[in-house]
Amino acid sequence: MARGKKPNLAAKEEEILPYTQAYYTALPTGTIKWIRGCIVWQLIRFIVVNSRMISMIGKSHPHPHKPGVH
Amino acid sequence: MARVVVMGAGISGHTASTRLRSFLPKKHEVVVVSPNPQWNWVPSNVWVGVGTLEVKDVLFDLAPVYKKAGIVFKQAKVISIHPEGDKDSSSPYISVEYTEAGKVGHIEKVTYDYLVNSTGPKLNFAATPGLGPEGHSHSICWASHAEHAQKDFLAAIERMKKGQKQTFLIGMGHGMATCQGAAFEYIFNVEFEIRRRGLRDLANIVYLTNEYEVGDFGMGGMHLRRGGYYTHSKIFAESFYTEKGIKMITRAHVTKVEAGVAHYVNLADEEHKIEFDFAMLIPPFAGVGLTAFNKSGKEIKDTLFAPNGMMKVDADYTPKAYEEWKAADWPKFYQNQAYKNIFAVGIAFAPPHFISKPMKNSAGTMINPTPPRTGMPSGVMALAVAKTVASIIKHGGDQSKATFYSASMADIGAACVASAGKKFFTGRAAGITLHPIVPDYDRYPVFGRDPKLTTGEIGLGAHWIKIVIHHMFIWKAKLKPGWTLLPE
Repeated sequence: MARGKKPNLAAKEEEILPYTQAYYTALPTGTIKWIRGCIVWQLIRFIVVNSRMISMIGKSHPHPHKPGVH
Repeated sequence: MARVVVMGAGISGHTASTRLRSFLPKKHEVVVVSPNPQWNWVPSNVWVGVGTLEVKDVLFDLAPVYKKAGIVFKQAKVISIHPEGDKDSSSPYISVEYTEAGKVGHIEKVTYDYLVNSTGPKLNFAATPGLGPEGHSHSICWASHAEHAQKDFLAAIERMKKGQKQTFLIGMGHGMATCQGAAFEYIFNVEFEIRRRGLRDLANIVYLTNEYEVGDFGMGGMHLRRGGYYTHSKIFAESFYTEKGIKMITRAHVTKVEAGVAHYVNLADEEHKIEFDFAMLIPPFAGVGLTAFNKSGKEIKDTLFAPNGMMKVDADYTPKAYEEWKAADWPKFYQNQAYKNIFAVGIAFAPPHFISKPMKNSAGTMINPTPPRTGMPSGVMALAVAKTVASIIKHGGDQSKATFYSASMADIGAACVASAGKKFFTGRAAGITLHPIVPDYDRYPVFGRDPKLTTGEIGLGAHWIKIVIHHMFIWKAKLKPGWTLLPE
């Protein structure tokens, strides 16, 4: 991180050192971090994630088994 | 007239009793036996533990809710199950000891036609010396624990305001503990609360876990479809920890907790210790310590319970190697096979095996999470059992004519919303859905789960979902208008 523009990465960037676990993981760019808090986009994601959860809940409803089958 | 006795009034017990009451005509009786007078929305204990909610916000009294619903409530703890009755009567019953003020210690026989075991876990702090609120670390498993944690967390904040550096150790207090999701959520709330106060530089925050990799969550992790890739939840979780400057210690079994020091050993047999100023370490779970007797008074604990104290149900408990595990090993109906009028749901049922691959170090210490079965899955199981028992009762007790409802963990999914800060506009959450909970490699080769329903993302939208869930489930648990329409 010494050369060039310092990316807007971690809360404690000084701890992301080469050859440590933190160095090898994916980190969000500033754009992604901004999107995570963008009200308009997050309203859309609120609807999308809710829809996805409802779909998953629908598939997770207890399944009836005909009498004598269990 | 049939009597259904539900042992426990947590998420699964409350779901079972209230759903049974709504399914059954009033001539049948639903009885709840629980030592606790209050219901706790456990997922929000995380917010109590950092001081953004007070304990009263996650608790309410059960007695008035049950009175309104027509459910008989006995504030008592169950001591033993007598599924064949005793020498005086063939009616099955449970023996309970009251915890209610004015009746403390009073023993009573509560007869039943159908029994639902939803006692939840015993928090087995004793498995690790020094672990727990009576030792040197905190827990957020119960509301009272979270309240205790809040007090010490805020005290640590005050020390930082005076310029003192603090180390926060959060994670799992034993090699076989579960509920990694709760620790995951708590650590990000701790980080958020410290950062929003401008004290982040004074905090060393460490996540210590028994997971082989972070993001395992006791389910072997999951592959999430993101950005054109199927990415393991390790990447998802590790990225979030790193972004927030949280150090990770994996594959660890805490052997001892002393004042300000946790000792642990890992899968590579390395022994370490870490100093802390504040620790929240989740304990392992065990059965609540019930026993059982047959008609002649002989103890039949092994017939009803697995060695860990959880109740045996219709699972395949044959010991198998990890490579031979199948989705079909997992129970469908949560029915005890020796006594078919007994069911067990939530944490109270004995899983056939782990979900994560078993790991042990050369000393034989098991270091891997046990299967999570709290929250949504426990509610869905309880709903399935309530429907099944109601159907059996409606058919006069003839199980061959009744409709049975299945909710195998290899067939149902889970929605996990882990908040990372409670503020309405600046909070964030990781919203994860997966289906099924137990990987089924026959239906879904390679990853074991439905790729369309196994997803995860971080953002404000997921945080709003967490807030909605908090209010929605407390509304539902209080049986307010429309509660039957809300899903588990």
